[in-house]
Amino acid sequence: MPQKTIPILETKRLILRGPEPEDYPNFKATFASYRSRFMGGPLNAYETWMLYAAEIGHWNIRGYGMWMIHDKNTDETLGMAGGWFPAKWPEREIAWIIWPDKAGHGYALEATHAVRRYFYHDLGWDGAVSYIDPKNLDSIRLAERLGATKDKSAPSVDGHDVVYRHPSPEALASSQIGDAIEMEISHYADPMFKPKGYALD
Amino acid sequence: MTIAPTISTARLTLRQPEAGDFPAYAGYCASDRARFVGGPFDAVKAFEKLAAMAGHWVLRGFGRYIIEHKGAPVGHVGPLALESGQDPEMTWTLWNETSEGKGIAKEASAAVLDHLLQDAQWAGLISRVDAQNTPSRRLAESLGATLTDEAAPSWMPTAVTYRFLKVGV
Repeated sequence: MPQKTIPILETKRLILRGPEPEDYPNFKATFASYRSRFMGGPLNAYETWMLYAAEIGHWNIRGYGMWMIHDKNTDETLGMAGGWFPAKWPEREIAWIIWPDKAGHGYALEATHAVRRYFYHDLGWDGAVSYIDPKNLDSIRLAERLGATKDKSAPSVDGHDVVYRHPSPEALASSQIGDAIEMEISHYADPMFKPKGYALD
Repeated sequence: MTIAPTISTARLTLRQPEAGDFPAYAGYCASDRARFVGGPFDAVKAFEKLAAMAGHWVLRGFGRYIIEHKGAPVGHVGPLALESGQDPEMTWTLWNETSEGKGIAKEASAAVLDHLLQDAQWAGLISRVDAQNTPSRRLAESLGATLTDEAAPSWMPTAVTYRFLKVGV
């Protein structure tokens, strides 16, 4: 198959690989569910399959895309994270989704932190945004934990979503946010205490 | 057997979708020509559809080819399988009317069918064509398809179904 080779990213607890045919049932379960309401879902069977095919094809067309997040020990899938840039999107987006029953372990933070580093260091991106539904509080909170801030002057995709601008590579390198993210991830990986009542991705 | 990622014919190159195909494909998606397949579609949807065409190859090991004529993409052709347990659907589409009347769709479709039914020994394919789409129905018949009395699917209520069968059985 003449497909662009999708790089594999490893973090402390996770391994990120390109989406594969056998991962489809997990993707389908989430996109058929209410969990996907902020990503245009829930979708029917046809729409879900076409979207999954498009997630893969995005790599062929743009040279980057969304990775499947796997648990490093069990290899089970946990969600997806990566870059998304369809035609007419104002800017390159960093996006993520965690399967509903895998939320609350900091996987999205750990995966998104790794993909952003890859885009900045390996692909030379000078920045990125995330387009988030204003009611998607978990994602807004994650964007803020990643150091992104609301950019009211930037164009959104459909006028309804909110634009969160990620810190530039320079800002990330010269501030404490990078260290803070690493520290938060390490607390998830080896928790000293768990905050109650927080639905964190 | 592995399905060929590219096929060459006398005048055409059939190959997998690329980023450079997007402007011409989006033009087709936005045009009246997309009306038989649920369109017209805007640019965002067109991007998703082109990306899905590329991703189909990874998921199924086969998919639709972009038809390149004189160095430019002019359409797409090949098998589509949204459900894995069913006979794939053979499709052909020219993006612009200026490509019509030259036998391009027939040359491309015949080469793909030859590869799938003869080289790869696929058991069969179906084609769903809008009952009003006379040029496409003529093409299906000239490629050797037989009209079936299969009911139209809910998502394409005005379609008729043709069937292509393996050669030489």
